[in-house]
Amino acid sequence: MALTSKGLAYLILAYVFIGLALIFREPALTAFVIPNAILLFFSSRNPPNTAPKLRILRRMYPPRSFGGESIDVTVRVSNDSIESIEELHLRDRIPGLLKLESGSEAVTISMRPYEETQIWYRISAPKRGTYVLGPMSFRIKDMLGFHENSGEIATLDELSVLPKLERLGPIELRARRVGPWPGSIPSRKIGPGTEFFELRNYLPGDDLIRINWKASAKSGRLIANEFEGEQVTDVLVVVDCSEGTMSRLFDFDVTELEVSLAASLCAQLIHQGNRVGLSVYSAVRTWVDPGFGKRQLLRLVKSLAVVTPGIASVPLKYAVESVIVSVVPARSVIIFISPLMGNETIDLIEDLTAKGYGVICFTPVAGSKTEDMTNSMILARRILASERKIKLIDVSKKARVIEFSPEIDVRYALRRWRPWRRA
Amino acid sequence: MEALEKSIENINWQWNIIRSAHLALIVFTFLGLAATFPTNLMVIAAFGSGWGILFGAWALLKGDWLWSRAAILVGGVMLSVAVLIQIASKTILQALPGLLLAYVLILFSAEALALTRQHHAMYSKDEKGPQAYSVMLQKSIEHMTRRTIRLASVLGGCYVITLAVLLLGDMFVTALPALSDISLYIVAVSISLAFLLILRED
Repeated sequence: MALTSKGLAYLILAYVFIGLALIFREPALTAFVIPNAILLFFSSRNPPNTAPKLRILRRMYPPRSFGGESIDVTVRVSNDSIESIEELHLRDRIPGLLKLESGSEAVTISMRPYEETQIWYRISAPKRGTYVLGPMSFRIKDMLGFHENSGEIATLDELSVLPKLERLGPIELRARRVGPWPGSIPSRKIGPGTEFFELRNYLPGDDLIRINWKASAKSGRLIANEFEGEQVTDVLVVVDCSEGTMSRLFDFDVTELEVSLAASLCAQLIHQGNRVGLSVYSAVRTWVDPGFGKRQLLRLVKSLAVVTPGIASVPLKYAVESVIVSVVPARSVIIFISPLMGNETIDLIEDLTAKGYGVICFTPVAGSKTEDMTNSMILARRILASERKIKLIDVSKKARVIEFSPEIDVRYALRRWRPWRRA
Repeated sequence: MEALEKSIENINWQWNIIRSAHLALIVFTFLGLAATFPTNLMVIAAFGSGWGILFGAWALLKGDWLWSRAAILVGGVMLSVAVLIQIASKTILQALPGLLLAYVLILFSAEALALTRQHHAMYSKDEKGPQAYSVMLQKSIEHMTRRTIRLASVLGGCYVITLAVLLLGDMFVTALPALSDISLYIVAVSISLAFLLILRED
């Protein structure tokens, strides 16, 4: 095992004293060499463990965060060998984007055989994303630090900071195509549901509660109510986080709000029993096949957690049509979350509605702040806002458009919208 | 929670005790260094010691490596001056035990300052973490205490052995006047040890 720089410094110091003794012809100076020589000898007799058996187990609380909260990380370190470690320096690698709030990710300790200890630190509320904690780097030194053995324990743990989920309440959709499973979407067919559909003769075995007494009195025979079946549908959430989201037309972080809205919509739609898929259009395209249940929701929010805005590599129309049309059955519902900045998006929505898909479009509200803007910038912004307004009018003829901003409560906007009134 | 706060308070108290011990060591080192100076140069020695203690205390307070280096540098310069003065006045053999003690104390102070710096980041008065953090702090205190004691014993041993070698050298000189220069032995032993070590490394 080679000497560390400190060990080398002690060795050089010893030779400096010898050199000085020779220069000054003063043999007594060589006495200063003895402590150094003893220390170097002592160190070489007690070298650090060359193959330490260290085991680590990292735990995060909460294991999955929805942002806005600090994460506590506890790392259990065990020395699984019969040799004690005189000086062990441990450092857990934290991604640069994460900030330490308290505790310490680095510690210098000594460990006895089979001893177990823990490291604790708190990361201040990280931004949405997926972070990898680890590996844990270690440095083992002898007592004097003249010899060193370093390495890494490749235990990696993923920390997911998911987008914030808001409770949107029931979302009333009207799809032309429904699945066979019971849900909350009126199917225009007789089945178990809550909305009246038609009358028919009472049949033996029918629930008495279904008897329509008024109609029975008029016709002189027992008449029963039939209800409109409520079933599930396929919903695809398309999130457009391309360069449009970075436009200065908006006064707020459009990407964050789009992602949060998409996550909340996915959560509510899954909760209502629908089959939900996701397509994210940004610098990196993401696709999650439609599916049911809590695991699917986790897949969806995990995919949304890593969304970053950026210039898309392929045209939106190609990206959406090539995948959506082949995977999502026609006449399903497509929820489009987009700043609607380009003509391409409008064409795509028109194409999708033409193919029979029910399209709901969520779009951010253009801002009005003019601080730190020159006159030409304000003028450009007004022109852009006007062009976008025209596009919105065009889109609203084909699909339902709901505008959102941090000030607008989407729950309220959803309540105001009654899809069956259009039908 | 109250027990946890009490535990962390207790650990902080221990940390301050260790730092105080390290400060006492630094004060002792610089006083020892000053004592190796002749009385007519005591003003310079006091001036150097004052700066050394100040830098050392600041380094202990802030856990800063720069101030630690400054304190060690002052110690090194003072020792060099003291040695040169003793060489010039041909009294180095008489002053050797004192100079050696100062040298060993400088090495010990450097280790103590490095140790404090290593652990300093973990101690902050306004931090209250869960039990895990208290365990960490406890381990850190344990490591510091253990290391300080072991360093003291090893460096103390070094000093005693060096004095013993010097004494043996004197005895040899008395017994065998032919070997009038003890440095022959010292140089031979030291270089042999160092070479042994280097050969062992290879």
